[in-house]
Amino acid sequence: MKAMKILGVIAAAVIFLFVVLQARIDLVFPEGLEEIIERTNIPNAVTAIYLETRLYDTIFEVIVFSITALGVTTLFSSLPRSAEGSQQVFGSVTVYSGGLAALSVTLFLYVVLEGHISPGGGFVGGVVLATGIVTYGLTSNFAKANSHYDRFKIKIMENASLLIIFSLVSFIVFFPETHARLLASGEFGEVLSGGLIPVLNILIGIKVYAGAWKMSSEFINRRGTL
Amino acid sequence: MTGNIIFYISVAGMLVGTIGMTLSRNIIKKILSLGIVETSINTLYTGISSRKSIIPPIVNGDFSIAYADPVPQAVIITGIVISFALLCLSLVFAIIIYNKYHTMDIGTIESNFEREKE
Repeated sequence: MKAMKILGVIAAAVIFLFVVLQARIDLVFPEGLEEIIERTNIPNAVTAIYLETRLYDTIFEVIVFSITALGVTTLFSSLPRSAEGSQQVFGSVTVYSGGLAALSVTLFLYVVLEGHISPGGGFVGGVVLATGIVTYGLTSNFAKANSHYDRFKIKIMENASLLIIFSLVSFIVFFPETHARLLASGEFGEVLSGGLIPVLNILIGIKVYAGAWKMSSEFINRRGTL
Repeated sequence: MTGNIIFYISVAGMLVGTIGMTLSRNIIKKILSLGIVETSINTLYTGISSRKSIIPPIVNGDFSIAYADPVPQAVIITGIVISFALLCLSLVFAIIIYNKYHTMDIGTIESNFEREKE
C-alpha cells in the first residue's frame, strides 16, 4: 500500500514535470493595451478589462458569488446556532477594533471611488470592508455587529445593488455606442470619468461586502464548541 | 525572468496541493490542499502577466514603458472570487458532515455510511 502511494506521487510528479517542460513560457500575447485604454479612456487597464471588454466574465462572477451566499445561508439554516453569551470581550481590543472598522470604511471608499484611476476596484474594496467589520464583530461584540447589519438594512442593499448591477450591465451590453460616448466625454484620469464604471465599482463593492459579511456571520454563528 | 521563476514555483505548489488532496484522510486537510492549489494557480497567472515587465498597468498616457500584461490579472480576479466561493461551500459541507458523523476522517465516515445503508 505504501509502495503504491510512493509510486503514485512519483507518477504525478513526472506528469507535472512533463507539462512544465512542454509549456511555451515565451509565448507572446497580442498587444492590446493602447487600444483598451483609448477605448475606455481610464488609466487602470485591469478595471477597463473586467468592467468593459470582458464584462460577461464579471457578471457571471457576481452571479456565482450571490449563489454561494444564498447556498451558505440555506445549507446552514438547518444547523443549530451557538450560544450568544459564550463570546469573550476584552476592553482595549474593543476600542482598537472600532478604530480599525472606521479605517476600513475610509479605505473602502478610497479603493472603490478611485478604482478606475489607481489600483483597486469593487471586489478589493468589498473584501477590505468585510475584513474590517468581521474583525470588529469577532473582537468586540458579535451581537452588536449583527444589529448594525439589521439597522443599515444591508440585506435590502445587497439585493438592490445586484438588481442595479444587472440593469447597468444590460444597458452597457445592449447600447455600447451610448456607453462609448459616455466614456469619451470624461476627463482622462479624473475621479468623475469612465462612464458607468465607477458606479459599477461601488455597487460591486457593496455586494461583495454584504455577501462576505453574511457568509462569515453564518460561520461564526455556528462555530460549535469554540 | 521573474515570470519564469514564479511559473516553476506555482507548478510545484499545484503538485503539492494535488498530492495533499488525494493522499490526506482528513476533510479539513483536503480543503486546505485545495486552497494551496487555488493560490498556486493565482500565482501562476500573476507570473504569466509579469513576464515582460512588473510595472503595474496603470497608464499615464505614456505607452513607451513596458507594462505588465493586464489580461491575466483581470481574468484571475474572477478566479479569486470563484475559489473563495468554492472554499466557503466546501467548508459548509464539512461542518454538515461533522455534525452528522462527529468525525473528519473519511474512512470512518465511509464505514458509518455503509453501516447506515445496511
